[in-house]
Amino acid sequence: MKTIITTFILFLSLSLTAQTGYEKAMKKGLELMQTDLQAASQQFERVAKAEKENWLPAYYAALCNVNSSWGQLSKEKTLQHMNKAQELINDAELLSENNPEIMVLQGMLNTCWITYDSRVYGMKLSGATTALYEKAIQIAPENPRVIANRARWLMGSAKFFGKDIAPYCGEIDKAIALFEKETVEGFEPRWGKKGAMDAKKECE
Amino acid sequence: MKTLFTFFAFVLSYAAISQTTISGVIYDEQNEPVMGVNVYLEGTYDGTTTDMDGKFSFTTEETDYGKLIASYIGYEDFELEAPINEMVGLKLRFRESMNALNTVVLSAGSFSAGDSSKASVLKPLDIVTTAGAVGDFVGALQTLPGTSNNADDGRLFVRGGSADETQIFIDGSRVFRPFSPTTGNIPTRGRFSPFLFDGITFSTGGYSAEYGDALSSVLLLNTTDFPKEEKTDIGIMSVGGNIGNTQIWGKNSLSVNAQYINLAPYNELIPQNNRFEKPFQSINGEAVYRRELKKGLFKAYSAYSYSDFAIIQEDIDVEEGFYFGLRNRNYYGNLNYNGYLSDSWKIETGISLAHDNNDVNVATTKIKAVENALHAKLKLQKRYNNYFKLNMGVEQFVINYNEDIKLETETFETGINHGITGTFTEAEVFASKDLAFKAGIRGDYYGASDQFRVSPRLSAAISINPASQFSLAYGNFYQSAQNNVQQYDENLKPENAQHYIANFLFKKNNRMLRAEAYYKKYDQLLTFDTQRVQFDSDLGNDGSGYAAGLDLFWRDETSIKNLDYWVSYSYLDTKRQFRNFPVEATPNFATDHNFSLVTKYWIEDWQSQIGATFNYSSGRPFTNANEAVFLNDRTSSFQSLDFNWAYLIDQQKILYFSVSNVLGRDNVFGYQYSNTPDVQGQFNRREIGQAADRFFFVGFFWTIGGSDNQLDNL
Repeated sequence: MKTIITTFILFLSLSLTAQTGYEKAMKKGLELMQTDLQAASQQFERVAKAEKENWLPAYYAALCNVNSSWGQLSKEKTLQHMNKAQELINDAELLSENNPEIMVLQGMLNTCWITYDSRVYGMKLSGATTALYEKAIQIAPENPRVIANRARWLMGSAKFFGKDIAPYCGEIDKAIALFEKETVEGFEPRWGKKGAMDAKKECE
Repeated sequence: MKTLFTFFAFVLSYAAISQTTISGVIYDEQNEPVMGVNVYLEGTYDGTTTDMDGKFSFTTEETDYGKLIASYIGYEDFELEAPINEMVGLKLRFRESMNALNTVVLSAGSFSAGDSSKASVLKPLDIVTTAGAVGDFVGALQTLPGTSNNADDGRLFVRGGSADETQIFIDGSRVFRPFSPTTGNIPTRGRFSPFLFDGITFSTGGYSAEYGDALSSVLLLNTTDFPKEEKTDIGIMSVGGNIGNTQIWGKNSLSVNAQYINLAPYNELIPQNNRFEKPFQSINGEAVYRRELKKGLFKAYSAYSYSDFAIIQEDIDVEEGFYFGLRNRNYYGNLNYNGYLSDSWKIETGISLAHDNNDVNVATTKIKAVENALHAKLKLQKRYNNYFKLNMGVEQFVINYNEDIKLETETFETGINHGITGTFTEAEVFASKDLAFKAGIRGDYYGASDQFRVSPRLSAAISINPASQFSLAYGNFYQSAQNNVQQYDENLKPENAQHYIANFLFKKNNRMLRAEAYYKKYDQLLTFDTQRVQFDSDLGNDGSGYAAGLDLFWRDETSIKNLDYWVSYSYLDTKRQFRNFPVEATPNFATDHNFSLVTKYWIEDWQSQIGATFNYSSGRPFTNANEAVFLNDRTSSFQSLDFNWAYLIDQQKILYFSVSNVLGRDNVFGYQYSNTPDVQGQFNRREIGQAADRFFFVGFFWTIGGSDNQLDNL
């Protein structure tokens, strides 16, 4: 009996240390995201290699790379980050199928490709991106990141065609309200409010 | 019991206190330290990032054996499996990884459209937005250097070669009759909708050992992979209409497309230079089925087309002209599978089947030609690493061709059954990201003439700086005679060409310069002693010739806001003695100078793209019967200014308008001389001019459902 209890306690304590190891590592990654996307991505990649069943580390690593791909870096660096982001999104998708959070990330990455070379990727990806956001919103109609990023994507194409963006402003407001209410467990995604606020400014 | 517990406690405490330090330095290929590298032990959270001197150091509680990984974006991952306590003072060497922007490309001879790589000259949209191309991808390719403008024909004439010397492949399988047949000065169009293709590679020489039975050029078309959205497309045009639909269910998708063209109403409105008895009409249907499989993609492509027309063909010797009628039915289908057999083995396999049925009535002669053809191909690729790849494959062509010629009452039947068996292997080697080689060899057995031919193919490329590179290519190429010729003499050997190509490429900030010089030597070309090939011709392989030239291409998308333009110039010096040429001469389809300027301007306030294309070719050779020297005279130059306007009404609707030859220049492609001289002893002649002075096109395209937008079509 005593053995069993001891062993049990032992394992429990071991798994607890492991848990805190994961939490510590993820927290460190999230902190790094504020200052150094490259270091943050590396931190999440390390965690992803250790956490083989968990989609979140790969997701965050992909997010870091997407956020490095908006044209702030050189063409060659941007291309490298976009390719890296795609690999990580694929990894995350393998661990969590039909996940609207990952679809949002893919949608953003597609937008990066279009920004990178619109004449090549505009044609290839614009239809696919819209389709992806539609699928995401069907699965998660109340997810503020889905609502906000879908609305921003549609606003972008409306602007391109010289159309009114007002129809999407309501969506942005709805997303902001949902961001306010959002309660998140563990390390589930919680970002996106700032982007929605920026989009709201365009509406005004 | 107590012992066991103590033991556990001991292990635990031991583990807690025993921290091993892992340390080292990381250098790149030039022995420079690399900063910012992610170094960690796989499966743990232990790791760090290298500092300015490329140094790293971190502690771990792991003790025995581990896998150290060093990874950094833009470099290849470095892995080291070793006992942890040996991971001290490591010196690791990193290799920069290759990507589309930093790696040299084997660009000699080839143009690609549809990616961002260095060698890419055209964007997917260019195929349909080039003024003068009117949605025909061949039209857009004719603005590239290395092609001779033959606006009266519509096919691709590459570097002094005839149109038959270019072969077209869809997803690796040969298309046997890619163009609808026409006559005289009525230009043909490709049978295939440009919207079905994702990537296009056009090679004007020196291509891979994978492609055989093509003397001058190959055009490779890849159908789009799995579609992402369902949609319906409707098009209403001044010359007809089309409708298309895409469905997706699970891992399957089906796209269908149908088009009907009838030029009768158009011909009523706009005067034509030809006297049509029955205006051109055609109906085309295409379907692509795709299925995603675990490790690959299966595609089935099927296309049927029907076309007919009849005209009164003018003739200098026959005052009332003579009747020419044509009816063509064509089926083309291919099945193919691309996938991975393992991590390093890739398989591409396909089979294509074609049936072509052509009925031609010329005056009182009736010709019926039926061709059945099959192409089966298996290609394997072994990837050893990023630096070494090996391709190998086998293919088989089977062709069955029959021709019935009915003259008044008599019928002559001829035909041929033959096969070509090919095999190839090719190695692709990157010595570094700045130096690449490709060496291949193919063997072809031509069944009809019982000949075996070996064709080596070589190419190399070196980059001088991140923006510029040089490449070279050499190859030996063979192609069998056309079926309607080979049927009269099975022993005709394949024709031969050797290509030597030197290429310079510069690409920076959306500006691109491409310069290519080439020399092509022709041998064993078809010869005969009659006016045209017929059953009693004395056929042989005694012809030879050469083509040499310089191709220049400049594209600039950035210097002027919203303006994208490219300029092509080709200089061609070619002569051959072939067919029934009495002496070596420049053939009628080859012009010395070709120039194209293509411009596209986006006007944001109008949501419109406006484009203009100007094409110029120097005069075409013709034989002036009054001077009696073979092909020594030249027509006046060909010039055409084309214009188009695409207006995006909204995401779903687009209005398209185009005019070819806006200025209405009277271009002449050649002359037909009378068989008999007039009273002054002069031979009279008739101009062979354009089918119409201008061509107008108006179309309205609408995409319904799904979430597609018309940008895709622009």
